[in-house]
Amino acid sequence: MHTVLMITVVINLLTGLRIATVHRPALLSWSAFLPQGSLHSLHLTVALILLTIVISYGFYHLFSQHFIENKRNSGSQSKSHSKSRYHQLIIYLGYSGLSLLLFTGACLYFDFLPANLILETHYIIALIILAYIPLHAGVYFVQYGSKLLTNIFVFTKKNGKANIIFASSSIVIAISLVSVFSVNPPVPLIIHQIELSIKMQIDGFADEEIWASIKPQRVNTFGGANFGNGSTQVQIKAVQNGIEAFFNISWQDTSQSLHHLPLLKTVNGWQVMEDGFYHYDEKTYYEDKLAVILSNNCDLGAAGTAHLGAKPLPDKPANWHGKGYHYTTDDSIVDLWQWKAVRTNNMLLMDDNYISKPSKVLAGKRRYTAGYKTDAKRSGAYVMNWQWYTANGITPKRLPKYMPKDSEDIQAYQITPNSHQAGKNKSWVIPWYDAKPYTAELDTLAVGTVLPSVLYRSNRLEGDRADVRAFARWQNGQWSMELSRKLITGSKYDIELKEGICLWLAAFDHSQTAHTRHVRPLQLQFKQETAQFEQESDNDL
Amino acid sequence: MIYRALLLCVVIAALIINVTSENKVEPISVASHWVKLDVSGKPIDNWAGPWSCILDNKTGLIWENKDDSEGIHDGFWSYSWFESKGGQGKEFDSAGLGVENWGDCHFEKDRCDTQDLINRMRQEKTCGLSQWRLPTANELTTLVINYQQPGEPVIDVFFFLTLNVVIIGLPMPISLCMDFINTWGREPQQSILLTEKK
Repeated sequence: MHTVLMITVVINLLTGLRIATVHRPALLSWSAFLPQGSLHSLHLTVALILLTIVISYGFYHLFSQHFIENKRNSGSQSKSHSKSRYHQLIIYLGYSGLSLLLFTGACLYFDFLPANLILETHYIIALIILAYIPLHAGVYFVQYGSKLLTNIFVFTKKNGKANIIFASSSIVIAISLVSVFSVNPPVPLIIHQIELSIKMQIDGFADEEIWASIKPQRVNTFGGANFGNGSTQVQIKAVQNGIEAFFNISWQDTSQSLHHLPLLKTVNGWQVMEDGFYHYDEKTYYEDKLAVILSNNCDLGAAGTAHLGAKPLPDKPANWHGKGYHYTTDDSIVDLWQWKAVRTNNMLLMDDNYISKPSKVLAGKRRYTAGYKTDAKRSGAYVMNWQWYTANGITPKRLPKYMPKDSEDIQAYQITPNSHQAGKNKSWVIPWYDAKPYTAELDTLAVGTVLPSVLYRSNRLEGDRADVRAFARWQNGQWSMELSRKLITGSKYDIELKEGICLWLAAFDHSQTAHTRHVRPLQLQFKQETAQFEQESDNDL
Repeated sequence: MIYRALLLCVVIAALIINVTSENKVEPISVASHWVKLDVSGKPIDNWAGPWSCILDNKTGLIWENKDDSEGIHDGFWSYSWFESKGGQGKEFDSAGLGVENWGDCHFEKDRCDTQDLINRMRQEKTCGLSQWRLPTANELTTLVINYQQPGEPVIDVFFFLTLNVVIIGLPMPISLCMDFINTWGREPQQSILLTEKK
């Protein structure tokens, strides 16, 4: 039992710390010791084994007097261990820590209690268990040397009856736990049916009566950047009319962040305002975002696409931020919609992307993205207003056309450092033809001037990449978004919206890659009856 | 027992030193037969920019890099295929093959054709070179890669940033856009020039 316990604790600590690196960059310094790859399911599976052992051992301890025939004569060495006050204390610390670790892990899985508090507690206890290893095993090693290994790893026939009962009870408990977890389905997301005649406006107001009549599904997401404590509650409602599905998604965000990598004129030229963009992990000067993942596969870790670590693919490049990649390991496609507060909101779209097998490495592409790819577009583009990005400075592609006569317009973009509140009525996008090509002679703007970095070559994307219409509005510390997509788009890079599809939500608070997450997915459940609102509406007609 | 205690301390200390030391290795670019050349023709790193030309180490050809500067290299301009007699340029001979001044660009008083681009690039000495010409069909096919992202052209878009359509002049106009499409008519297309490595 002790050996299995050791192995499960070590595996869970290592996989858990790797999972924590995603939102705790300081842990990346441990990266060399941590496993890489798809670890969420492994972490949960091993946690179940650990839970089994802890419960079994609890029973074993409670009823040991009945099972162990020779407990009082079971060896002087173990007797001496049990008499050590130090080890008694340390072992009680271990028991308490493991129990709390399992409890907080279960809370995260089942979305009980405030996610942020639970996540923090889970992490601190994991560190205590990490310290427990040298305090417990290390001190035993100092006391007994290599003899200790014999005691731990050599199977003994002592207490044979107790061992058999313990092993049997463990198997029963394990089966029970697996049954509990496996029959516990993903959180249902009811897709209410509405009549085709009901007009749904994708304008972010969500003022259609149907939305008021539906109870939202709440998801506590955690582990992101900013949001005050890295967590935010997302609420989602969904309806469908047989052709299209409509979602109303809202999430708490105290700041409307539209300052997407602004350009700052300095005495040395133009500079991108950033705090991590070079490593593709900007967390200060970035737009708010929301991502939706849809998959036929309901595995943990975003349908099993989250592969953690700097280099989870041995034959592919390491990622810049050390967190990991999204990719599938088979030929399946996972749909990924990304709403971006500046780049796509002004196009009334979500960026329709997908996740598939890792892509080929291209020598000129600095950021390898593995399985994360965009759907094809026929036309339309947003581009960044720099000829080539370097951390040391850039040359803009274009300058506002009416500068500096329209200085009032430019003035609206001036922000104070670390301010994320957007200027009123400013989209932080410059249409391509409202600007002219940059030349040093034209650049008469004063040092300290800030400009948006996003240029629209056209007012929207077109084609497969524009399959998801969306618009969001920020008000009173909350984003409210309406989106729609056809149930079946016909694209091989899209997932059909149907019964049983799993869905994940991730919110970004002015961060590029650091997003919130949740453990159990939502699962689409199509409700056949037409929503009450529609029936009343029909009666009125 | 003292030795074991020391050993334990050493192991813990080594772990702490390893963890606290800066051991992050940043990704580096992989080798490619494409080489970016800056405006003076000097090679730069795969991940550096901006660049004006691309050298193909496989063929020895140097290709023009397109951009969106609204200058002569802008990839959004279109050109009718036109070759002035003897390839000497319109200032020497107005008669020639193809359709003159039928494309769209802002850098010419009249509309644009491929001879305009050739003349401008030769005058500019892009990447320090002055023998710019239209590619042949065979040369054009060397741009094609066997890997394509959805909706992307079958060329390496991380070296050829805004190259969507390529037109060549001899003996008939041919365009390349995701796959080969013959454009036998007068439709102006994007154009790219090349020259040989010295």
